[in-house]
Amino acid sequence: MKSNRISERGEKGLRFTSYAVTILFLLFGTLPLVWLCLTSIMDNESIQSATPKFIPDVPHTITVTLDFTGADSGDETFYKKEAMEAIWFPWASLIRNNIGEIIVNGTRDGQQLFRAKATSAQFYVGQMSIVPTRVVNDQVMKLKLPTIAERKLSDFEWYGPASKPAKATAPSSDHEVAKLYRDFFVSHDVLAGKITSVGHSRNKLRLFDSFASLQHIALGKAGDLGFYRYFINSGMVTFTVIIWQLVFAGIGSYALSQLIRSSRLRFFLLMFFLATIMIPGVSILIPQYILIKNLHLSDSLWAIILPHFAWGFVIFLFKGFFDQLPKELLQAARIDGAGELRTFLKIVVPMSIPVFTIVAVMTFVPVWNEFMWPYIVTKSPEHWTFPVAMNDMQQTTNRNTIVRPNLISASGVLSLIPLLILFISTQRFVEKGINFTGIKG
Amino acid sequence: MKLESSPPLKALPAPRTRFRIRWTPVLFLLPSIIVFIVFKYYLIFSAVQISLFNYDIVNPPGRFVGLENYFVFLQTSTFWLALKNTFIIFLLSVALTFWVPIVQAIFLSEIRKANGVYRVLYQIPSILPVVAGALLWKWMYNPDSGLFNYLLGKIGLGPYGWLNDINMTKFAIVLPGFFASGGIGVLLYYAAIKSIPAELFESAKIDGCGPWRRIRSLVLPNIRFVILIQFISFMSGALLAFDNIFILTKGGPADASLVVSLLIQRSAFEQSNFGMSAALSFFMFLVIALLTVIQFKLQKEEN
Repeated sequence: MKSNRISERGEKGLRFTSYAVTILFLLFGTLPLVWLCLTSIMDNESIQSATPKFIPDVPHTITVTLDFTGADSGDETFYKKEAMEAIWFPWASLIRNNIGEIIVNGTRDGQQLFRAKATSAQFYVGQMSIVPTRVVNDQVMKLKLPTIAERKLSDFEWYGPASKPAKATAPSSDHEVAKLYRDFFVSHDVLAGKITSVGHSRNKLRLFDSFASLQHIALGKAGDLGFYRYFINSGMVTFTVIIWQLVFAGIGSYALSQLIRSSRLRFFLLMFFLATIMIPGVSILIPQYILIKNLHLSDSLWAIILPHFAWGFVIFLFKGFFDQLPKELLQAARIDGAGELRTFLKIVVPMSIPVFTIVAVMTFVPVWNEFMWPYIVTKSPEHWTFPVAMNDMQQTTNRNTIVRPNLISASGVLSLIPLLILFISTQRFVEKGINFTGIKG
Repeated sequence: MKLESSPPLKALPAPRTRFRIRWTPVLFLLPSIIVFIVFKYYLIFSAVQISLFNYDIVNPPGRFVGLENYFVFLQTSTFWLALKNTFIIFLLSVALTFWVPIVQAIFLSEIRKANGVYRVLYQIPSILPVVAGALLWKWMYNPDSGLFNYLLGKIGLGPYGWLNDINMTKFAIVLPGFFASGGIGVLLYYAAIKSIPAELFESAKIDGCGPWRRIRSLVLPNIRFVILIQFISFMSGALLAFDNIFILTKGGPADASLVVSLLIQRSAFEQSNFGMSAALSFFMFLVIALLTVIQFKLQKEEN
């Protein structure tokens, strides 16, 4: 083989440059994405500090044993309040220390009374409404208990007295964060129980709490489905548009390419479709808004879907492909008595998988990513698509929640996943399809 | 052979079919024709109509004002500033991003080993949704705690104000595009380069023309049409970019990144001046149509 190739002057230099340029561009392209993925599992202190860290730090787990032996006894609400105080107050003060979860075990006379737990997903969502200030006293926590229960901001398991023997108390840790936790209650005397031990460990699962936080935030906004709602909305919009393009644009372009005999009519229709490529979306924004409003469709998914049905570019792609179909084959099918629809479904479609794939991909990406139109036309969160919800998250306060960079990264990572799967699974067909389209030149 | 013996053929009902409407193509085309009429042609005519009114969304169409909307915005300095910004951002995007996929595809076509892997990898940066990308870059640009000032500080540069700096904000808006280019454009150019006949390359080699010369005088002229098509869609995309600017700066600081598309959105949805907004948007339609026609003309003259 090698001997047959004619070697070129400067070939080596070119090959070296090619690899260098390609690798450099790939690095440039992937770096923001790597940063996105890393920050989605990092704590905000590391992201926002003047000297950012690049490796995510596994969050700390604090396990506290609270002993009520000898103290006044109370009902479940009393212990609940105690547990919440032991979780929320010190956490608010140690917010810079990347705590992942705090677990409080309440004991009395060697029996376990309760087990309470809050994760960072719950804490950061509730922080603004539960511990907005540094005021530490019983009254504050009593007022907040209903909110915590309603928004499920902490877990509380009540065992009751004399039902579960307490586990042997783990030795206190002398890790820095555990020390800070103990110091907090030295200076703030709010607990009725006595802290007998403060354990420290690390839990890798808590790295992914930013993803769980998204769900907590959205639950309050977009209804029962929470964050999935945005995903489902985006998915439904994209899916409907793709189906329309594949079915109606496909069959229309086929008719345009193969069934219309008059070349003058064909040219006229082709121009009718293609000329619309020149009309930018922004130019028809206002009449489109008014039209959707007059159809009583604003603030619904149909408002986002309908305008995408008219895409000249898709007709252009389809027609370019269908023009190259072997006419003899179609003729043969007709002679055999197949109707036009049957010919299309049984003969044309199986031959045109590459162009159908490329249309699906080229439709998917802009519709999934579209921001301006859904942002303008939808008002209520249950009709938001993913990009609109993401934009909402950057607003600094959002239903009493400070939104943090790692939440934005987490939602970015989530929005990326469907596209990533799509691209990797269809790459082969897309490349085949591109070779058939007229754009190649 | 006697041709006269073919009256039976002539007697076939051919003349009748010519004037009979064949319903299948009509049915196949009807859905597309309807949506195109409603969502493109009706809307663009409606845009012209709205732009001639002091449009009242509650009691449409409001008072007829003729071309007044156009005269009004042409006299505001905000409009001219926005138009200037729009073109500066457009030129910056040409300088920073448009050429990237072309270069990527040219060098990619020189790589023979594991070429498909690189093509997949090139797709990945471009699939990050614009909104997600803009949000990510927004805090990478943060002057106090952003990644960029930290990294540049390491090599003794900065700190820069990025989006907050009037002189830098346009550049900062365009820069993410450089990192996220690639995408389907690379595949298009790559396919175009691969479709150049191999004999051309062989004869170029035999003639001893070096690789750089080959790229300049063989590859580039042969993919010129793809470049033109891509440039036209790139142009309308860049001239009417909204999402990234809206998220990164909302037009600020001090209107340094205010572009016409933001002005359109602002006058309609913040000032409820729909007539003005429609006038602005129809104006932009004319600008882009004009630029497209000029490019096709230039292309024709070159041939």
